[in-house]
Amino acid sequence: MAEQEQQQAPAVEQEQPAPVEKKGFGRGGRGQRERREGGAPRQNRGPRRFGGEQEWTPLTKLGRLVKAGKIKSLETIFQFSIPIKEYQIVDHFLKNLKEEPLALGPVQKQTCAGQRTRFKAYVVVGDNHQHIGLGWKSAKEVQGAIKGAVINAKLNLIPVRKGYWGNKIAQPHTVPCKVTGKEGSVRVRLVPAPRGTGIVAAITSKKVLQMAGIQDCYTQSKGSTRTRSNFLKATFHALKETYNFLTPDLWGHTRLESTPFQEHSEYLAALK
Amino acid sequence: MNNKEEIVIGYLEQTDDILNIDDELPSYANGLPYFLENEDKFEPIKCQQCGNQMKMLLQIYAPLNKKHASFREIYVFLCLNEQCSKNNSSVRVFRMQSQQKPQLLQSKNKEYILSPQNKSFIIDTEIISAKENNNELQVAEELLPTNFDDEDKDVDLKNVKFDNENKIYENYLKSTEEKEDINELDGLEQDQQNNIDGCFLIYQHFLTQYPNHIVRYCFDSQSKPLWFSDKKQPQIDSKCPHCKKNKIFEFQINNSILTYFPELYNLEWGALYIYSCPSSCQVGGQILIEETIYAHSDEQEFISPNLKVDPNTKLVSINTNKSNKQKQQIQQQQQQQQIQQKIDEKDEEDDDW
Repeated sequence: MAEQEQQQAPAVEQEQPAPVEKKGFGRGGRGQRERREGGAPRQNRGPRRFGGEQEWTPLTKLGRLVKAGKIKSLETIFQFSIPIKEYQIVDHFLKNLKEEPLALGPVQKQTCAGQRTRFKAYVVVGDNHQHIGLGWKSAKEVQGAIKGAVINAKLNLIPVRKGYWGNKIAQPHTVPCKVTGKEGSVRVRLVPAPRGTGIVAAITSKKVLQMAGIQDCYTQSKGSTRTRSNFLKATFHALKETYNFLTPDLWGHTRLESTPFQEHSEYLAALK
Repeated sequence: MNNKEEIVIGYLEQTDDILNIDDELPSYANGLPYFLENEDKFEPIKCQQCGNQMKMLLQIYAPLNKKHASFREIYVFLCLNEQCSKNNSSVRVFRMQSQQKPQLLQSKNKEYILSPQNKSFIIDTEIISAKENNNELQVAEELLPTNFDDEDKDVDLKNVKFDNENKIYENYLKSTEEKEDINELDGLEQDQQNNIDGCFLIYQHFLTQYPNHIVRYCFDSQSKPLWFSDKKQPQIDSKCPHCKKNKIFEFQINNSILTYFPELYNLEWGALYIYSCPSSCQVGGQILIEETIYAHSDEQEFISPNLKVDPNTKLVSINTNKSNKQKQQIQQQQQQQQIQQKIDEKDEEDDDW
């Protein structure tokens, strides 16, 4: 594909200067490729693939700091509520991220030329420990929808807080308190459970809770849980609430810390 | 964003000799500006906020098909002061033009150089057809979770590799876990994301497809710029002072220029958008005609300038002059009260006697 493009390109350029002398930035004089004496065509332009294989050049301040290794973990970004705009930041920190589609199906829209069918994918992204993200996308092909949904899920990543049901021995295994999330008419309530219970939930929310790293949980749901998009989002919102809940062990004073942008302002100023 | 015109994108290329090019006038970045007239005829260009002299980011040669603008050069200046960069007035753009081939006069003002350690770069160009541009846009809308995917489009997805996604899909179909029936998926088409910046994803897509391109030029009244973000998209209403027409978008300078010049790292903007008069009027007798430029940034100021960061402990303390004054006032009041009490006591003693 790329070779064909390159073969076509010089042919077009030779036609250009002769008939109409169109002036403009970059069009003056002879064609671009013959510009330099003995110059080879510029080698910046590689085969045009969609993202992925090319190296990530950051476009935001946060991206630059992450790529340079100045930010040690994702939790710093979460602590200061800095919006993550580039999904490569998440890839940089979490190398073992698993992506699982939960729902893949056709959706239709009525047009004057009949029905237009597209595929919609809901994908959950998580590391089975303490991060979870939910994303969705509809596109003409299933693979395209999955691709977009994965990117969406990475941009929507949240940390999940875990706690204990009873005695505080070994690692936290369940939700720290009763939390509830809602979307549309669906209400999902997560209740702490003793160790060894497992996840007591419907198939849809069970997958989400597993990938978030929660080992034991009771759930109660209400509303039209057949609408899977709302059910998934409600579970996701419930997990988001775990870090919004003020428990007594968080009552102590916290000191104000400087944001990563302030801390690394020397680096940002002149690449030290 | 369906452009009908071709789009010219510019890359930076290192070179030793700027003037050895095929174009009549140079287009390059970082160095002493080449003005078309003697620079003694106008004042050195200064920042409107802090008064320091601005540095030249780049100059491009952008001739038009009109007679009076057949040799037209555009200069972009910026102020490196951090405080100024939060404001839109830290960048300025000027246009110089002439009818006949002008003499190139290099400026002698060394303050104009942006990055003295780096050499100068030539701007090398590549033309993208409107069809290719539109296709890239549609590929981006199809595959990225932007919020603009409602219309029907013919997308050319030959260049996209779906290996990873195919694996995921096959695993999903093969998995023996309980799955709900696919036909029961509800037909919710309108599922919007609230916190995803769709424009930024498209911008990022273009920058990965044409890596490291700096300038994106499309001087057409119908053309729309490639915005950096959803937020703070401006409505540019400025008009040319001579012909009173609305200024139209000419070109934009992208964020990728930061990889070449580390002096720009602390600046807030993501892209610069230059708007100019469509008929390129010669305003009055001015040599340097100022045009409109917009520095697009999506950042909000989280920390107020009154917060101080202690470099040793990296803790933040709030330091306002007002509170100090208040403390001083309270102290003065207390002192006055004490003096008054002493006077009262003395009076009482006197009374006793």
